[in-house]
Amino acid sequence: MSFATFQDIVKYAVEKETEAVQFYTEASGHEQYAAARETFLAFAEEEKKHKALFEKFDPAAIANYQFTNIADLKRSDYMVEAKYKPGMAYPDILRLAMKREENAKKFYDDCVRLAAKEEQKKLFQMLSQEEAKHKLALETLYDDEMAKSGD
Amino acid sequence: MSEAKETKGAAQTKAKAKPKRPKIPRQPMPEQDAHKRAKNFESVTLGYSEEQAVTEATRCIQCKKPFCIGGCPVSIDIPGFIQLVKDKEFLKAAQLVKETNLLPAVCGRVCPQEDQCEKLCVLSKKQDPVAIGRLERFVADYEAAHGEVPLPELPPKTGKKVAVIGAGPGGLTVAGDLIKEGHDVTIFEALHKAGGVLVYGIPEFRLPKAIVDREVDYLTRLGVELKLNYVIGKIRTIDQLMKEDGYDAVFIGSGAGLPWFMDIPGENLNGVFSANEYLTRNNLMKSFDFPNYDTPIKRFKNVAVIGGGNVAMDSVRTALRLGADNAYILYRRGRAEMPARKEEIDHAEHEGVQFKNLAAPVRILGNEDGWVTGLECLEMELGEPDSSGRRRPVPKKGSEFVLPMDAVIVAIGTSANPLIGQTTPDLKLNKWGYVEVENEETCRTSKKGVFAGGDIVTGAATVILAMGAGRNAAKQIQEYLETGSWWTPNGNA
Repeated sequence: MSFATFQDIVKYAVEKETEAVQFYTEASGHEQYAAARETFLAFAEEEKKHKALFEKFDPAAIANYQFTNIADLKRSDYMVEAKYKPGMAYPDILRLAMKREENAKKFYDDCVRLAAKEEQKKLFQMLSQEEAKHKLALETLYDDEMAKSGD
Repeated sequence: MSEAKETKGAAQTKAKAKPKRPKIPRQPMPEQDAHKRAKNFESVTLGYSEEQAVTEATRCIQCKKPFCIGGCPVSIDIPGFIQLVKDKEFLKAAQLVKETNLLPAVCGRVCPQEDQCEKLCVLSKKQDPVAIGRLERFVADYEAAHGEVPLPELPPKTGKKVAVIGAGPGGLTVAGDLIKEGHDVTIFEALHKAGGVLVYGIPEFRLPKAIVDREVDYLTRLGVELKLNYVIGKIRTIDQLMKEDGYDAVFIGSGAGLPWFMDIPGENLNGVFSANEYLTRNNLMKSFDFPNYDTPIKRFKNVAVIGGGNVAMDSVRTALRLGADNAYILYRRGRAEMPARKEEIDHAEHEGVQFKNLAAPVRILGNEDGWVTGLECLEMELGEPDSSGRRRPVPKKGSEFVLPMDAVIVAIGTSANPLIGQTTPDLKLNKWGYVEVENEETCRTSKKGVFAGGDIVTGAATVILAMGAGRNAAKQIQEYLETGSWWTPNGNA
């Protein structure tokens, strides 16, 4: 992969979101139960929104983008890597999704450090922030449920 | 006003004024000494004496509109039974309680009354509420010790058959209510003993198993058939029960016994247990009573229990009693957020359990033989409020610490065993794997003739809530058996 230009980076990010949509959509097809199918399809929809957002990124978007500090609960950060298995229970599906967002965010954070140009740095920061929002949403869902059961 | 009228008025006022009720303090519950009880499995609390019970009953002001009844999931006539205690009619009090609560000796011990009936007690505005739970336990224990529990006369057989899946509090309640309607009731229980969480989950020192045995025996004497070691979803499916075995209705009360783990490194080491396994081995398999029972458990010296609920408290107090030098609770949130009953937390602390709040494990360490040697943890701190205003715990950077440990017990929650869902294709489940019901009043599932209640619907909750659900389900099953009427999204079938 080449990150030589702004468009290279956007193209890569869109490909990753497309892959994520495919992953969740395929997983939903393996699930016997409606609830699990619907969960994976909901995740696929969220990734589609990300893809649509990233497709609109251009250098002007950086100037208008609101950079904020997104809270990080780090619930997934200490968990082992999750692998998809058909019939996974809902908490495991959440962990799988959380881990995917965590890995995506880490990747873009690494890119921020390695980027030579300011414009590229800012773009990677935008992408990282978007992944951070997804991670927070999933971890909040997970944390709420775990709090009820004594975790 | 004339002097005569003034005197008459004062006299009338004096006559009308009721004597002030003396303030009687809430009677303390006698307990075993904390250090002594931390080494045995005998009951922690010893129960009221007759004198204490009568004194406590005197505190009840017999409200005209008793709010306490509304706080009880099975609507016990609380002022009614308390009045009988005050009048020293203890057996009648027990019988009154049993009109709505099949298991008062259980509920009097394990119900969170402080969140239910006692919370609504009018006395609690200015002093401690009436100790309703302790009085319920007193009358139930009194009846067991002194009374011959009469078997009610049963109506003629209806010819209808009901299958109850699970012999936990929900299932036992359904069975007890429906056998009295004249139906044939069979309980299918996966374990070798009936009682569900009452026997495998709650330790002996909180709930003596002899009490559960007595209640189950009462049901079998009434005519309830009990099939043990019988796993529905393996031996027979729900469809087979209904289409081949002639059951007209089914109640699913199989609970939520599938443990959750943390998914951190080292969780597959020897010495790591789910709380379910640890408690089952001790409570059901009597590991504490080796060699009288052939299922011992290794004596661990440093034990960490992860979690802050009642199951975590039961696990850590069991670890102490099994000989741990150090028994820890590790909970990622603050003390105030712990969902365990305050009474259980206090008991645990008095017994010597060490609490580490705002701490979370990140890795379990082990030796080359694959046994736990330590627990790496992080301190937590409360982050910024989120959009709901809630401050969640987040790890404190650079705060790693290691506790030497030889066992880790994970008590962070459970969910439903997927077996019944997997073998009943038209039974709708929610995303957490629990059975969906129309609502908690009707208990009707998506499958005609099949009802569900308790933890299999709500997720892990309390004994009394499961019993309340069982009571509701029994009423609904009775109506269904009488009328054949069933719910569909568009109206009755």
